[in-house]
Amino acid sequence: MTCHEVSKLLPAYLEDILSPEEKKSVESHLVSCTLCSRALADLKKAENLVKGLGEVEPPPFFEQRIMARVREEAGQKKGLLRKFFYPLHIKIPIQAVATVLVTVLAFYVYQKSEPEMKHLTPFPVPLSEPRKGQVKAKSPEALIAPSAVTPARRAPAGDLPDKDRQRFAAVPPSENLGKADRVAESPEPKQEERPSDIKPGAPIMMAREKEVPPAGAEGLSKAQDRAGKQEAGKALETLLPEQKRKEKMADTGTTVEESRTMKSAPAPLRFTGVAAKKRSYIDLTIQVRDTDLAIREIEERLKQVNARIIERLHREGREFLKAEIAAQKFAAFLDRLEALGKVDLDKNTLDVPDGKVTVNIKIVTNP
Amino acid sequence: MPEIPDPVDAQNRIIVDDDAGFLARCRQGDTEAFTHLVRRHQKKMLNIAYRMTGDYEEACDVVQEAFLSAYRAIGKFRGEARFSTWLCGIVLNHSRSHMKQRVARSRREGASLDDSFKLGNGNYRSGPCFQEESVVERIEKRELEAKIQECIGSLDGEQREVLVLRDIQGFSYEEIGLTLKLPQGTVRSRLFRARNALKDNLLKVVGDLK
Repeated sequence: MTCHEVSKLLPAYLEDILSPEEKKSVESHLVSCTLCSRALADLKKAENLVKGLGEVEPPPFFEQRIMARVREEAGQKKGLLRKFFYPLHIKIPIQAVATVLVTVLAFYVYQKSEPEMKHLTPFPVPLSEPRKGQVKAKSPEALIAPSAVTPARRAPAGDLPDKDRQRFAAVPPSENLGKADRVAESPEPKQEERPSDIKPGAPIMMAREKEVPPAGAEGLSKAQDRAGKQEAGKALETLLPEQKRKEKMADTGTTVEESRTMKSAPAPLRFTGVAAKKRSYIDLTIQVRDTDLAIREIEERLKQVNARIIERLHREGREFLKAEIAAQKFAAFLDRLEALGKVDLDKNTLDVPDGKVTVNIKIVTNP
Repeated sequence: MPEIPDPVDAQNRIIVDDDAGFLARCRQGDTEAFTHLVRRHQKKMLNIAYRMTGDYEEACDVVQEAFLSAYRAIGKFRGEARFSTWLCGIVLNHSRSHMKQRVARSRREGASLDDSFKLGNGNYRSGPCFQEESVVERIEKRELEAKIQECIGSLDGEQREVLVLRDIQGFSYEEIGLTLKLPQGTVRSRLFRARNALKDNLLKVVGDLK
């Protein structure tokens, strides 16, 4: 065994963990080798020196310094937990922001909705689109030249002067019925196109509708607007040439102005809310064989629906009946009336469900 | 069945750890229990760190960081070894990390002429002292210790670890094996090489070993 090999085994020899053979070999070598013996001695001394090293003491407050950092670490952990589960310190800002947001939102919604409400209120509720077509279709016949309407000629609503009635009576009743139907069936023109469509009667229409400011409409009062055929009839007679007037009268078969009032398409849109609540006027013409018999039958049927007969007129071989009937019962009355003869009806676009309807019935003889 | 199994060593023997009670309290968030552990182990850990780093202040930093790491990871400690063994491993890891940083720093800044004075006791004062004999002896002892520490510091890192743990701290081979996660045979052979190397270094530095 060489010195190098022995020197490697010396620490283990000192620990006494060598096998007996190795131990014997080392010991025999140490006896003969002073260098290795000295190395063994140095090894023991070095080990003693290392084991004799003194211990260093921790600096003052070392434990406190360590624990200060540990507690800081623990505090951060707790702080994180608090941030997640007890965010009291950020609750107040959140509440404040939420309050401000709600306030701003409420103000914004109020501001935005206000003009809409303003816009909605003036419009009359009972207006209905489908009837516009009818009205528009017939409007040309019902229009009255406004410029020609003079206050002197206007009659209070509900009254039908004899003069007018005579003129209505003079109109051939069934002459232009077919034409009226055709017009009614024609596609509904747009409102904007109306003035051109109804050219012949446009001025008349203007006169009846107060809101429309045509040249001659200044003299019309609200009462005149509400008025039915008397006022319109006067205007028609006064302002239009005789021939034209007759044509128009013939188209509707009755007083043109009343029919306009009841069903006019532009009228509902232009009427105020008050105007929309007025009583409706419905003109209808019934063709019968026997006028006297028909009158009795009609009166009977009016009574059946609790209608109030306002007046009855006879002019130039034609009978006129004016009655006030509940709007809800009008349909029933109409059904009964149709059993007596052919009925030509001008419906009013202004449906007043809980109101009354004034019905002007013209009875013509149909041989 | 307990939540934390009884710590067992490599031979499946139950390890009795005096720190078990404090550890349980620490796991429940009791910071004061950790104070007891710090108080109990701080000196030993500081000496290991000091012998590993050779610098007192740096050793203090190492120990502080090691305790802090232990506190953070205390929930992961399952008791496979004693707490002191586990903590020693953490101190050694931080010591290695500090030494690497020091080497990197010295490479950047260049070798310092005063490096040799850093070895030894933190309160070490160099220079002659002619006051009293006892003082002279004390200084000579400190100088010798400084040289021994210098020799320890010159050892390879792995050899230094086993030497410090076995010859200075008196750990058993078993504990060293657990701490360094090495077989005991490896620990022995590494230790023997470390002793031979230290002896040779001491002969060079100190001269004749008394």
